[in-house]
Amino acid sequence: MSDTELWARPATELAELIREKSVSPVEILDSVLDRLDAVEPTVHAFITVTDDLARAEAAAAAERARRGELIGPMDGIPYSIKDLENTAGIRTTLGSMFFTDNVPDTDSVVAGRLRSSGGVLLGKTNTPHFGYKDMADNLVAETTVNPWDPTRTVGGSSGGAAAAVAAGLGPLAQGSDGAGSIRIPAALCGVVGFKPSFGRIPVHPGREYWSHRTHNGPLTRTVADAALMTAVMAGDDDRDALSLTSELGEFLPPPPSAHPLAGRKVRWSPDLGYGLVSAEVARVVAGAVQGLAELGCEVEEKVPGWEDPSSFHRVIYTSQIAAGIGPLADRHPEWIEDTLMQLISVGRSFSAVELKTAEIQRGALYNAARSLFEEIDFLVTPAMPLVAWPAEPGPGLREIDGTPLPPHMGRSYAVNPFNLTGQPAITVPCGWTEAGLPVGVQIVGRRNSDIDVLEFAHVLEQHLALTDRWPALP
Amino acid sequence: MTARSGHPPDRRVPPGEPAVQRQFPGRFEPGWFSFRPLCGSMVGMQPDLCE
Repeated sequence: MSDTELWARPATELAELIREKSVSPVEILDSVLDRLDAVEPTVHAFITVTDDLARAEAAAAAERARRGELIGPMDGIPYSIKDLENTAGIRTTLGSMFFTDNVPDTDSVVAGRLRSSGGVLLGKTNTPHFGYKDMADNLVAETTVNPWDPTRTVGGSSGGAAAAVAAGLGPLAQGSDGAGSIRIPAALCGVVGFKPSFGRIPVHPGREYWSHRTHNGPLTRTVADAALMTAVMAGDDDRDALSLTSELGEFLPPPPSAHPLAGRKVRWSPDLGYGLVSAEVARVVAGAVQGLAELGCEVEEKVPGWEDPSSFHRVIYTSQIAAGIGPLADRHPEWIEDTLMQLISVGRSFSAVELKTAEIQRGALYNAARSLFEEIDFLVTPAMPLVAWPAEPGPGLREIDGTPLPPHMGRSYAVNPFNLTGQPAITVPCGWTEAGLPVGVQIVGRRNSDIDVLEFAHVLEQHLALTDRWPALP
Repeated sequence: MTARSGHPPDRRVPPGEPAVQRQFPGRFEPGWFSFRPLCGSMVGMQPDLCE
């Protein structure tokens, strides 16, 4: 691959090329659409490709660039939106047979912000039914597969987004993360996935403004691109009652030096004290942790100290699914995947008191996490305890190195606690297994420390120097 | 200014209209990442999954 191919450039570089008039947004789009023609028939990242709209948006951006009137650094940059997000005039299926022909009249908050950034929308990326699981198959579209090994899953629920970025189909992808759904596919696809603090990017339309765990965020190939897209999407909006009113701040990573992270206190835990983790994944992530030590961090390997939240998280998660999707399932059970139907059934088995008890336990987890972060700056874990598993629709592999996962524990046990606490968390590619599958390291920061997490991750990313590696697609 | 946020109300302009015209500096200089579009008015309701 030539280093001049535009589809392979990060958004930060493309923005500078556009601004200095070295490259037109139309040229960038042409490059990305050529790449899409070549690899999308294999990867199936998109449910809907909006190429006509993209050409019009790129032409408009090119004219703004010519006049020196660029809106901002996303102007003219190709991006994608997950198909859970309403987009005016563009089919929005939610990965659901109930919404195969749904065309919203209006944009969601985040879709509207991206649209008015001047970015070039490539299309809507694949998601499991209403984003319910950590894979990207549904009854609506082709299953999205992993660009690093098309026999394996891309992860989910922002699986199409991760596949698009990993395959070079736009450097920026919007995703959403209610129980790991940005970080899971990012880790399995070797890209960056950032879940900002709860409320940093508004969620609207939505339904559970007072008790939900959903976070919007970016999937990108570099941390700087994640910071760029976060800056475009962040900012409170009264339609999301819990959106944050504090400013995001400026992404200004420290300049290169011998020990740019000197004095930062890092807690490293391969399994949080209660999970299973693949030995090879733990070894690869430990290499990144060694890198943090070389950069000056004070690293301590120790469990965070809280109880496994999997059991009460399951109550919250499944009861939400039962309440939200159950009535639809009653109407058309044939449009509901078996695994989703099982979750609805589990959710319906819990009482109101059990749900409220789970919410109280969620509060206790927040207290424990807050106390821990009085002692440390960052918690570091593997983002996923295993690499991408076979892509066949269904429940997916539920064992690690031959040991079955406990029935109550999901594959996402390392990422979903921070949906419950609302802390910012990012996954950054940190290596590949001998079989060539990517591994991601998760970095968790204090609530509202989004920029600190991004800058810290950027320094690690620069140290690891892995961003030039691409999957062997056509 | 809105009561909650302190942001000027003109953040909510229709998508597609130029929001901020910023001559942003280099990639890691102040101002480059602070851009935020002024948008969000074209927002409707998610299809109600329970209807």
